[in-house]
Amino acid sequence: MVRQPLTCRAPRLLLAGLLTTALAGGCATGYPPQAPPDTPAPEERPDAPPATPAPPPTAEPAPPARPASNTEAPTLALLRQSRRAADGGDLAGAIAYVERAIRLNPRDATLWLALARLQLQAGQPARAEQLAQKAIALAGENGDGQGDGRRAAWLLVADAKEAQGQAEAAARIRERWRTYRG
Amino acid sequence: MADRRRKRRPAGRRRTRRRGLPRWVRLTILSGLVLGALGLAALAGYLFHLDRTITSTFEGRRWSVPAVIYAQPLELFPGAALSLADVVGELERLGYEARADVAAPGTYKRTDQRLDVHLRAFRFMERNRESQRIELAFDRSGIAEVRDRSGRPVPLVRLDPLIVGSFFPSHGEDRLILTPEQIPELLREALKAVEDQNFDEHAGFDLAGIARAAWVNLRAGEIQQGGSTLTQQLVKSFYLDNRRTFERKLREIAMAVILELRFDKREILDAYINEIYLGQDGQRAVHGFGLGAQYYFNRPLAELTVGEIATLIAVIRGPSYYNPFRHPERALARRDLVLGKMREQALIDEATYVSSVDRPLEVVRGSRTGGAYHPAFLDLVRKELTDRYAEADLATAGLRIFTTLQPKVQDAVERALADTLTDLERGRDMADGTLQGAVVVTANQTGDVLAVAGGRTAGFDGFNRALDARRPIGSLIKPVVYLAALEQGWHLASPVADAPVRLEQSGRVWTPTNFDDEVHGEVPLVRGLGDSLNLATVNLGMRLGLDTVADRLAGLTGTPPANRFPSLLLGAEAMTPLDVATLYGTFASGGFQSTPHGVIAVLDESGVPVAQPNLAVDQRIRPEHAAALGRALEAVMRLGTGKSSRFSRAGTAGKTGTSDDYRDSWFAGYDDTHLAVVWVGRDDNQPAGLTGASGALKVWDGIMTHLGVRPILLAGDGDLATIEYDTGLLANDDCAEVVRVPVPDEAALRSKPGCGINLRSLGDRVRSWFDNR
Repeated sequence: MVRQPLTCRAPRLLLAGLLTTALAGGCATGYPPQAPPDTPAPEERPDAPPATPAPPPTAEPAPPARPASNTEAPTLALLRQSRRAADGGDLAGAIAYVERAIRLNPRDATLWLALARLQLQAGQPARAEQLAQKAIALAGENGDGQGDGRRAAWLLVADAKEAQGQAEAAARIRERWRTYRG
Repeated sequence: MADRRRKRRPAGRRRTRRRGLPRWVRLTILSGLVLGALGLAALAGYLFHLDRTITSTFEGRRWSVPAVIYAQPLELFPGAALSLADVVGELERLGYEARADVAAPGTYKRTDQRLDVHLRAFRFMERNRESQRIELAFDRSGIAEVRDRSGRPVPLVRLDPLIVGSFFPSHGEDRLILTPEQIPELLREALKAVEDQNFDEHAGFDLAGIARAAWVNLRAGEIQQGGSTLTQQLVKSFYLDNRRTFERKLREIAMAVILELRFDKREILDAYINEIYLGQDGQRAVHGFGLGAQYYFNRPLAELTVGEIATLIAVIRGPSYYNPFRHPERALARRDLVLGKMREQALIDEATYVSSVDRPLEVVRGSRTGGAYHPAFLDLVRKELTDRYAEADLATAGLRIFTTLQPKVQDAVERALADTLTDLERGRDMADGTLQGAVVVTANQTGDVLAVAGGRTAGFDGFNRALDARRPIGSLIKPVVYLAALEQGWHLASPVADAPVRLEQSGRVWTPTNFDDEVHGEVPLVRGLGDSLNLATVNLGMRLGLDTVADRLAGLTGTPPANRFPSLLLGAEAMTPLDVATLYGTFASGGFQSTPHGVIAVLDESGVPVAQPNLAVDQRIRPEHAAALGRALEAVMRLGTGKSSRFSRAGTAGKTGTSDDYRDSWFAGYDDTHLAVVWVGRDDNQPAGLTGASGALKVWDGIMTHLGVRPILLAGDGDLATIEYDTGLLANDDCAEVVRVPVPDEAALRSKPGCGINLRSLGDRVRSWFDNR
């Protein structure tokens, strides 16, 4: 039961076209049911390691895991609508669409980053910074070891810090990620 | 708008002749005139007052619309892990009807692995959705296809959201206002036919109607018709006064006449349709056909059949006498009488009459079967909005409130709580109703509150234990102690002494004991938390410092603990289940706190968002500490006090809690998606005889059984060591119960004799293998 490793496939290109370049490193993380991983993910499911399964402590076996939805397509549709709303000057609407996407797929770092970006635009840098931190944490958790998503999110943290008058902290972050190439 | 016809003036008096009359006659006439004028002035003043009163009531009532609260709508898309039964269940909750033709909004057809749904129009937060037909195809993993009428794929579409309640004013009147377009013409005509045949002609009261009613009633020997016009009934309904005095009757007639002068017939009729009292639902008075349709049939008025409209009209005459739930035979007889009138007036044809009379009442108890009323969740919404709105605005401003409630989760919670408490009572020879409980379920990452149960009786509008009952949390506090330790440089394999403690607390000596009354010596942190060892935890907490732990708790809940004594370390601190959801939500989301909330957006009457709280997070725990704590809470389930759960090895994390003398039984636990906090105990605060594991955890199991579990993701920050749970020694899973925990320096750990490092997992063990030589 290991989650689909987040090597983004076809949809990534599509998404890259949709989102700003900074977001393009991430991917809409759909989790197709029963798709076996082809590379070991750095995270693990709790019961993954034992070679010989330990006998269950209770007579009643645990029921099978609830299947996950594949949210790739609806996520893309919502991001598209969000983009359209933002372009039309409707930030509140744009935020509502992204939040709807997050509710469908709450562990997608890209979506939290998109929300962070919109909140920064909406003049909420402190909120934006925290949302970007959340994106960073999820990008790590999702095994985005390449750091692409995290780089974009860190740069957004820098912007948010700058907007809060913390120019030095912003500069430090930018310097750290300046030379980074995923 | 109002018809600005002028008020008719009383006819002018004839001038009296002055000449030729004796003085006393003149004086008498004069004084008579003065008195008459005064009387007229008084009457005019009175009428003016009545006019002001009734007009402002009539105008005001149009804008007095209770806020309506909506649940989260179900999102349908290809790839959604929703079975055909899931979707049909939601459609039934929404009052969709199975119909072969699927011709009208609010109907659906089910065939093998397909669903054909005619969605209702709905004004969503972002935009208006017209009614439309969609086709869903299912396969084993859920929805495989969503297509529109012309076969084009639809990426995403929502069902309309369930109405979960409304904020009606304290006097109890609840209503769903219908616009003129939402009112079927048949209803208007049928109301006239049944209640007031001269409505289009009379001026507010109807002498002929009174006479006819008297005649009909006399012949029938019972009250079959009332003499009041619709306008009079409307006035009566505005002032809810059942005293029948002659003065009141006159006043009612006067007001009816004024209304007729001020407003046109259609405005009065539509006001009547929105106003008339149709029944009582607990504290809530059901007013108007909009809410009446929802209450009795769980469907919008526009979707009701002729027979169902007739039933609502039948109820007007006596909402309790003709109550379709309690007195179906009376209601049925009167419905048929109404249908007869409709036929008589040629509003329906013979065939419709015959087929309608043939059908049963078909009322559904909305709050039981379908559309639901969830007062416990509404309390949460009210709490969030009272900062922003006066109570009166919530009750009258016509707000539309979109919330995070998920009906399926709410159902699961209500059923699991009621069933489990009953089982627990039966299993322990307790009287029925001894135990109470409360539950909060949130979405881990967002803090969305998906369900709230304030007590074991669903739909009961009373004391909300989930929000308002503050009870000692017992061992639920322990993760805070261990988190503080991790933040001070300890790790989960670090040893702590599970040894007797003697502490002074407010002049008294405090000697806590372990649950099993034993002393376990040196144990790793992960076991101290996992087995919920009191002595290990107190020793650890005292080494860290009480203030450190208290400050950490304050930082995570936003409230400094009231208890500043060592007993705080064992949870002698009262919190509500909602507070606990805040605390554990932060653990479940990798250290990011998002305060549990129920409101997504508030729209005003014209659909403009007036509040949109938006998702917000706040990092309260560093990722590496959150990750370690998550592993420890997973060990609680697999090897510790949570291992009796049927999900103990399914990838869940959580913590049991029991307060002194078994008064409070707690469990807070989560999987990948949901966090559920459960409290079980007694309202009189007597011992319930339940531990966290034997009480609250059972309820939690029930909830998760309904919802299904998705295994959590254990983040892998830092190097992981595989240690024996009991001893903290390096070990492998062939010869010990092991946990994998992050440690900064595995080399410092000793190995379990004869059960060394598992060479098969060589990859991350090479360094320590060399070091151990």
